[in-house]
Amino acid sequence: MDRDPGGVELASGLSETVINTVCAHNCGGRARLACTVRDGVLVRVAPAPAPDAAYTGACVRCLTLPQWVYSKDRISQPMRRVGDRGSGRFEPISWDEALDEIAGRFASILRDHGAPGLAFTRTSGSSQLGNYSRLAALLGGGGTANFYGGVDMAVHMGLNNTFGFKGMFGQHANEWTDRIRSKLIVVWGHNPAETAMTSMKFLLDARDAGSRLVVIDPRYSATAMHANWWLAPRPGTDLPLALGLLHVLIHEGLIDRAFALAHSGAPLLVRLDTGRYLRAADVSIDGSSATFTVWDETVQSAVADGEAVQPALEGRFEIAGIPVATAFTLLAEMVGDYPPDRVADLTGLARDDIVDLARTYATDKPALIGFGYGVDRYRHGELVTRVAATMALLTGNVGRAGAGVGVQSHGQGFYEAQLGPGPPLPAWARTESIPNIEVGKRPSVVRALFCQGDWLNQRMPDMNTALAYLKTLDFVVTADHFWQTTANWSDLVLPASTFVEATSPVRDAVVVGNSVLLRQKVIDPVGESRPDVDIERDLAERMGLGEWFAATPEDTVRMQVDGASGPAFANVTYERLVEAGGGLRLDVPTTPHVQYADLKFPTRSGRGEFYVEALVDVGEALPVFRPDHEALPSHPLASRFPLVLVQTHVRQRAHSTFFNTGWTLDIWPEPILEMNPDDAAARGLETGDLAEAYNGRGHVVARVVRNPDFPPGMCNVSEGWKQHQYVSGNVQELTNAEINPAHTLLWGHANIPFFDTRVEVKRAGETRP
Amino acid sequence: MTRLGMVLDLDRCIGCWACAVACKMENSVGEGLWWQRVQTIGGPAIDTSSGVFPQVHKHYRPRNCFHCAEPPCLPVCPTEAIVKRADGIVEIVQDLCIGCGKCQPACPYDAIEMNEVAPVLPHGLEGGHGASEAPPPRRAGVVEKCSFCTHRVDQGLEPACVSACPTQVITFGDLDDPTTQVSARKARPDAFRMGEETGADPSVWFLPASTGAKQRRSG
Repeated sequence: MDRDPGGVELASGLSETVINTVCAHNCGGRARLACTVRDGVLVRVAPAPAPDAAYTGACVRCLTLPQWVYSKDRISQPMRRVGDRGSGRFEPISWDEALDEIAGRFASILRDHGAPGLAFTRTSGSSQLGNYSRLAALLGGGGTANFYGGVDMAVHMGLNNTFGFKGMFGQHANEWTDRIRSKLIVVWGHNPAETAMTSMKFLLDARDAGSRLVVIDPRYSATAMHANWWLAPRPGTDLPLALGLLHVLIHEGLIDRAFALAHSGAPLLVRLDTGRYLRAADVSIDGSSATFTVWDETVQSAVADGEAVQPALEGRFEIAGIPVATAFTLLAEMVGDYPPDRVADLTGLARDDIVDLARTYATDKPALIGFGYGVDRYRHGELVTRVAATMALLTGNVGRAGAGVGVQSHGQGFYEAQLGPGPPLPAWARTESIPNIEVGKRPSVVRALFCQGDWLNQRMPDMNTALAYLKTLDFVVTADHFWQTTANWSDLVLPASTFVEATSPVRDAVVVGNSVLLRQKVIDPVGESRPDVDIERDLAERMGLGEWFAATPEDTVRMQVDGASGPAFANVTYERLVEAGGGLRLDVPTTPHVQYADLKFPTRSGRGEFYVEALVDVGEALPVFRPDHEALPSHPLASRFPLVLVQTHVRQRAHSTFFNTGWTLDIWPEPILEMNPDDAAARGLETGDLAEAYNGRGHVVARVVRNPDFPPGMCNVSEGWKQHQYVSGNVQELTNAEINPAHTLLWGHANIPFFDTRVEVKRAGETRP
Repeated sequence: MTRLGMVLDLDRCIGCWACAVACKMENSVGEGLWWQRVQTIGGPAIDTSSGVFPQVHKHYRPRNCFHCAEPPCLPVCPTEAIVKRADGIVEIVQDLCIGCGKCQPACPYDAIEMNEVAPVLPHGLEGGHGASEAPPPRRAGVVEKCSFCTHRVDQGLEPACVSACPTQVITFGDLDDPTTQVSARKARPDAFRMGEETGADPSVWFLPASTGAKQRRSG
C-alpha cells in the first residue's frame, strides 16, 4: 500500500508533493534527487539536500529525467515478435501471455539443456544493476549462465592486485571531501567534468585553495581545461609514462625508504628460480609456507618478515642454494629499461616534463593520483594502476590525508558500510559467469538469453560478431524502456519501468555519501510497464520459485536495512529512515575518510605488493610494458588504419541512459566524429561533412567535427548513442574484442580494450582504398 | 536600493548546461527556446577549442538575461510589456506583449526569445513542468526570457540555475548590499561584464577563466 506522501494542494486544485530518491544510473553519481510530483506526474527534478551536506548536488543528466520517463518512445506494453528476427515486426500481448510464454520456453530449455542452457545479462541502462540475478541463480537448480563484466574493471584489477582485494569495485581513493587536503592532484585518464560532474566541485575547491591540479589525458578535455598543468601522452601510452615516472623516482632517490620498507612489499625476498616469494618454510626459517621473508642486514641472513632489525631494501642473495632478490631490486632493474628519454619517445611527451612530474609527485606531498576509466579501455589498463600504486607505496603517498591512488569518482563518502542481506537463498543457487568478451568464442550450451537493457549496444565489443552469436540462440527476451538493438533482435520484449516508477513505496536502498538512502517510489509505472524487480518476482512465481522472494521490494529493503550490522548503522532502522524522508547519515566520522589509514593492506603479506607472484606465468609479476596492442603506433594495423578511435563519455548520458532526452538533444543532437583538423584536412573533410570510420571489423558513419582538442592520430565518437541515431553502422562494430590472458588468469575474465581500436576515415559514400 | 544580480566564476564552469536545463524545466520553456545557454569560447563548434594542438584554448560562458540597470529592450517596447521591478529584475508581462519583436534586436546580449509557434513541451508534460508558481507555458507570438526566477526569488530562493550548478559557478544576490557574497565577488579587480560600451549597465558579472589561460601544457 502506498504511504500518504503528504502532498499540498495548490491554488489550481492539483496536489503537489516532493519525494526524494537517488539516481540509479551507472555514472556512479548516486545524486539525491528531489522529485516534484504534480497530480501524479513527475514535473521537476532538483538536487535534494543530502544527509551529509557535502554530497548535495545533481548533474544535468538527472535534470532531464521527466523527459526520459514520459518519452513517447517508451515501450508501453509487452510485445511478441511476428516477423523474422530483426525485422522489427512485433504484436502487443498481455503481461500474462508474455510471462507464461517466457516461463514455458525457459522450462523446456531447462529440461532439454539443463541450467547452463539459460543465460542472463544485465546493463545499467534500465533501472539499477543487479535485477534478475536472484532468479538467474535459482533457475534450473542453479548454474545458469551469467554474461557479465569486461567494462571498467582493469583499473580496479591493478589496485586490487597491489593494495589488496576489496571487492572488484572497492574503494581505494580517499573520500571526495579529502581532495582539499592534497597538495598535488593528478587526475589521470579521467574527465570528471563530463563523466562525474558532481565530483568536480571538490577538485575545483582544492585547486582554488592552492592544490596543484594536473590532468593527464591525450585530449584537451573539459577537465584538462581546468588544470594547472595538462600532459597529453599519445593514446594508449599511459603504462610507459607511469614506468618513466617510477624510473625517475627510483633513480633519482626520491623514494621514502623508511615507508617503503615498513609498508610496501619492497623488502620481500623473491626466488629467482620460480619467481615466487621466498617463504620461511622454503629455507627452514622459523615460520610457515605462508610466512614471507626479508634480508636482515644486521645478521646478514634471511628472516621472517617482521623479525628483521634492519631489513634490506635492495640486494641479491643466495639462501640455502636458492638465488633471491628483494622485490625492490627486481622492480628497480625492470624500470631501468624506461629512462625518460625512451619514455619521451614512446609517449610523445618531453623528457623534462616527465622528470618534472615525477619530482613534483615525490616532493609536493600529500599527492593523490585519481584515475578514471580512460586508461581502463586499453589492453594493459591494470598495469597502469599497479605502477601508480607502486609510486604511492614508494613515496609514502598512501594511507594519509590528501594522498592515495584510486578511481577518483569512487570516493563519494564512506561506503564500505554494507546493507544486510535480502531474503535467504538456498545453498545451491548460483550462476556460472561467462565474461562478455568470451561470449560466442567459447563452447557453451546456452540456448536462451534474458537481457536487461540493450546488451548488444552497451556491453559488447565487435558488435557484428556479438549479433551473429545472438542470432544462433533459440529464444531471446529483453526488458527495456525503449526499442533498441537488443530488443529488435528479441522474440519477446517487456516494458520495464524506470527507477522512479514503483508499485511498492520503496524500490531499494543504497549506501553512499556517508549515508543510507532509500530509492523511493516517485510515480506509478508509466503505461503498462513494470519495475524489473516485479517482473523478476512474477517470473519466479510462475516457475515455482516464489518462496525465495520477499512479498514486496519494500520488505526486502526493510530486511537489508534492519539487518545491517556494524557501528555505522548503530542509529539506523528502516522506520527511522522512512520517518527521515528516506535518508540518514551513517554513524561514521565527519572528517574525510582516509583509505588504509592504518597502513595495513589486505594482501597476503599485509604490505602493498607491487610484485604479483600470481602473474609469474604470464610474465607480469612486475608491471612490464609490452607494445602488443592496437592503439600503439608500432602495431601492424597502424599503416592501414592510422587513427586511434576512442569513445569519450559525455555530459548528457550515463552510458546510453538519457540518449533520447529532447533538452540535451537540442544541445548535442547527433553522434559526431571528432578529429584533429590536420587529419580531417588530409582527408578533405570539413566540419559537418558525413564521414565513415571503418576497419576490418565494421564501420560507422557520422558527421565530422574538426576539433583541435584531439591530437593528430586520434579520433572520437562518444559512447552511448543508439543504433537509430547513427547515419549507418555503429561505433561498437569497430571495437576490439582481444582477450588479455593475464586478466583471465587472475580475475577469471578479461576487460574489454574498447580504445585499442584503429580505424581509417574517409568521406561517406566514397569507396574504400 | 536593491539590485539583484549574478557573478559567474568562469574558472569553475565545466560547460555541462545543468543551469540551462534546470531553467528550461523550471520555467516550462518550449522546445528550441532557451532562457540560458552555455557558450563555448573557443572554436566554431560547441565544445571545441581554438588553436593548434596542444596549444588549444577554450572555456565556457553561461549566458542569460543580464537584467540591465538601463535595459535597452525596455524603451523600445511599444506596449510597455517590459518592466523593471524595484529589485532590478527586468520582466516581460506576457499579457501586454504583442510580439512585435522590437526588443530582440535592441538587446545587445541576444537574451530574448520569440515564440514563433505555441510552445512545444515534452511528451507527457504538455501541461507544463517545473514550478507550479512559474509562469504557465507562453502562447505563440510573444517574447520571453530569463526572469531570474521571480517566483523563486519572491519566496527567498535562488534562481533554479544557481542551485542546479554542480560546480557552484553562479553567485546570486543584491549587488548593492556590500555584505553579500555577490558584491564581494563583483568587487574583485578581474571581474568584468560583457559589452560595457553598450551603456546597458548589466547586472551580471563574470570572473575570468584564469587557470586555463595560465596553464602549462605538455604534449
